Amino acid sequence: MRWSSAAAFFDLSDRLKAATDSGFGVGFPMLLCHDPADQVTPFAGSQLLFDRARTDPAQKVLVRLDGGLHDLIGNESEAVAKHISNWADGAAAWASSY
Amino acid sequence: MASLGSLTTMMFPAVLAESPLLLVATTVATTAFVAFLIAWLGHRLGPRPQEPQIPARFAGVEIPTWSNRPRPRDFFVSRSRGERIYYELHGVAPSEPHCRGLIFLNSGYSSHTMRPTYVPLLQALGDAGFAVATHDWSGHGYSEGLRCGVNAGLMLADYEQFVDLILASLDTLTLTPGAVAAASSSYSSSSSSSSSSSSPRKGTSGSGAGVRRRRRRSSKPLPWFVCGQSMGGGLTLLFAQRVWADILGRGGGVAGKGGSEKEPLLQSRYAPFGGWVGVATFFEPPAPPPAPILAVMKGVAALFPRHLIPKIVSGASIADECVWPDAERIAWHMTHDLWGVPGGLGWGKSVRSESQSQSCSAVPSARTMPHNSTNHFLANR
Repeated sequence: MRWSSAAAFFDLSDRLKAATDSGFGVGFPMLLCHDPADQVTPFAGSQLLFDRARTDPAQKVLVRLDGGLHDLIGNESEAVAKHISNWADGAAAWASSY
Repeated sequence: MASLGSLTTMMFPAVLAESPLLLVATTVATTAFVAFLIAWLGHRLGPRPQEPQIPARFAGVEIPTWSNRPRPRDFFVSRSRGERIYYELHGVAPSEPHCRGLIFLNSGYSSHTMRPTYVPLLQALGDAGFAVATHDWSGHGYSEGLRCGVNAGLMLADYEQFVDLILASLDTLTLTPGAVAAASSSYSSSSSSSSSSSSPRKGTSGSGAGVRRRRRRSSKPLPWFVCGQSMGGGLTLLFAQRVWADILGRGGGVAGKGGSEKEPLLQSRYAPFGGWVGVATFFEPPAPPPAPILAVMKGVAALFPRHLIPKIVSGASIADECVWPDAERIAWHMTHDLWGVPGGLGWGKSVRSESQSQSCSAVPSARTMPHNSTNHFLANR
């Protein structure tokens, strides 16, 4: 990894923390898919985002995909697509309500 | 000798002149240091080796030719840096009445949307009735830019430009039907032990009937979503936060820093924003270093932004076992990823070239995928 890219990841992390720390930062529907055993990007990050989001509980979903590892899109493509499909209608209804 | 003696007396303390051995040692050390300095400066200022290059160890692995490169019209030019950013459109055309929504899907660090990893998901989302728009981050995949260079502000500016571009032309976009299904290379496992639930999809699914039952009234605006994997998850979350803040007047516009925050988003166009999907989202590095080390690291990054972090500092790279579940799957991805494509990630000093070369050498008979272009090109533009 390049030095600048490594620094950029810390910058990105700072931005994400700032966005969620504000308390008003995240309020839209969200779907999080993560393997609790992910060693590249820890599951705790998704858990924290989920907990901090001010989204209506009915509109936020945290899915544990055990065994999916980091490449969830490659390893669990069907499951990811299914969860997106299930979540999207409610999110679309939210979008049409404002 | 006399002049040398007087010179050294001027340059060095008297104790050196009185001790010939010490004098010689000091002279040698000084000369070596100056030579190193000159060599280092020459390396820094001299011509750099061209990147990408084909590493010799990839010989024998099928590498797509230049003729397979994406066509020029499948790029947009980023306003931030003038780079050509590659994009693709998949799934159901947004103009179709049964289209359920538009998903902007993005890859993570060092990955790219041309990877076969993404084909099954693109197929499944298309089968489920979604339009999917993807673009490669700057420096990733087919997009121009410093290979694997990351800059959140500039990437977000590109992202905003791309979303604007697509949303502004929703009514006119038509997708080439079936291109993904035709070009995809399904994962054919020689081992019967692989469960179908965890292996990449085989062919298309038969969920089309379910899609037709969900007809969208054409008068209703199309909802759109953002979705990203890993680093892409973090970036798209920031983008979503900015859109949401602009629409509802909440939040702080954090995502816009360094990007194009001076240009207000078109609120009416963004109105049907439906939310965010994060897949294995990056939020924080797994083991952040202590603050002093982080400060030093950022200082080095400012001085040598393009240079690679030495392995002795960064530690071992991410093991493939953290990404894929078994050796066969690792080999499949290694040999099916288009990392050999000019501009792809196996080129030059990519983070993945090492592990991929190892996997390829371990599986010499593994299949390779003829690159028939998995692109979904715009048919009518």
